[in-house]
Amino acid sequence: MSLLSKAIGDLESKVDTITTTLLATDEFARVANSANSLSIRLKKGMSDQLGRRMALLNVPSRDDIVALGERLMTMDERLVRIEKALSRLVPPDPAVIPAGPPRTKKPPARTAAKTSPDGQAKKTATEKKPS
Amino acid sequence: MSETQSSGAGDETVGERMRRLVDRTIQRNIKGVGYFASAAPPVGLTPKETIHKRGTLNLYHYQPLSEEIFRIPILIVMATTNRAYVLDLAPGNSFVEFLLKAGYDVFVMDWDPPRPEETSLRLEDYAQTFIGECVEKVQDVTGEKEFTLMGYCMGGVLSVIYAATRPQSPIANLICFTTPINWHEMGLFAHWSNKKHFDVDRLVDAVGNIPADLLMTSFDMLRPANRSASRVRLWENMWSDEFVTSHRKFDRWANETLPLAGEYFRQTTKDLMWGNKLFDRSLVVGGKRADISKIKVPLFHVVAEHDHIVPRKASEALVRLAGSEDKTEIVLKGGHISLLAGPNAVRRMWPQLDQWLSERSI
Repeated sequence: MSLLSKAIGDLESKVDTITTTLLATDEFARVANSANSLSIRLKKGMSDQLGRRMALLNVPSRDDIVALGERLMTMDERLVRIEKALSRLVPPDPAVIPAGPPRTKKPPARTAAKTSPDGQAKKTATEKKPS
Repeated sequence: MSETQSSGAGDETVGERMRRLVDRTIQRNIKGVGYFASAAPPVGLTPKETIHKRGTLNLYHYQPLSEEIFRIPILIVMATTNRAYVLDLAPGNSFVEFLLKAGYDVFVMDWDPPRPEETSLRLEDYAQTFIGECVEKVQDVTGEKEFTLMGYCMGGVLSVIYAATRPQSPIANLICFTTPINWHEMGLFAHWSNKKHFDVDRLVDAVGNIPADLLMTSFDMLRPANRSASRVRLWENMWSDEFVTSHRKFDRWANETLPLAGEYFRQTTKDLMWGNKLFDRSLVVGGKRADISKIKVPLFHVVAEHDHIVPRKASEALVRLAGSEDKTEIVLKGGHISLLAGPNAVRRMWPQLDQWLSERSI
């Protein structure tokens, strides 16, 4: 089974190498983008047609729903602003200790040795550790 | 004597191999049926609370799993193309659970697919408004001003932009995973989105938000044989519950690629991919220049040796350009995803990160 795994890995790697060489050509990028544009134009055309039919049936179109969504988003933003303003008006009481475990944990002794006496971590230079 | 023993051991090994082969073939068939019949495995099981929700944005606060926690909380910014549950795949294989058990207070910014009306979201909404709001929430909940900002992939880019445009923000540490800075080194992505062939304006104007299947196809095309090879590997290992469960979770995650907000995609393509403005420090977001050299906080960057999505050349500039005195980069074996989740991450990345961060979280 390990032989099979290795064979799959090797084959995958070879196929990827060959295919990505092809995918890295200008021709591929041009053809792929043209195909994408065509597909998008088709989808857009279908969507426009469907929108017109929905208007005939007096059903809200996608644009109507998006407009509603945008209004909701504006309300959402207002709520966030109101919430912020309120918290500025009534700042949190510093005497109230936030719930949860105490924030007093220290690093294990192994790493604590690297910490200077004032509790500030020592500056370390850029280091690159290859695995 | 030794020959006899060797021969006996060899016979036994062949016998065992045959038995195992037959057993696995049977198991493969039985479990193969179960595979197609069963529902997707659950993910993201670590208890959490959604403390902020606004459109595409969710902010989770995970319940601490330690009796005593570090003073400085962690705010993780997930990549905008993917769900954050890759950080919490399963008990024992969960980065979030690891951090909680190590004594950190963890907050995660996760994304829902942007809604049609969120097409107008821009880089400044993600990197400044959303992160800014979440920072305030974290400060309110914890009572602490300082926080560690941690970003994965595009989440790293957003974190870097936030840190560079708000140097006065009380960021205690900045941690980035495989974060692209030099976008001209983004390999096939850079080639496919070259402005010679790619009309981003036409795409965004036509579709609004960029569909997830378009993004998934692009990711798949970086390694065209990967999906087929992955299917063969699944069949080969179908007898192993552990492999199948892990495969399904990763597969589910990879298939849940998120659409991208249209304007955000347009801006990312023009300013980052074409203009390479984050690299040359000319990027302006929300009226402020995102100059990486203005980042002065302790910086830890983890990159993968075999990252096919963000090549090493695209990410290496972060540590070089940052103005921090205390900065570290580690290069680990593995790929874009195995860097963060999976056995590779558990063994290699998590302990190194904990060692670096624990000293700087008090």
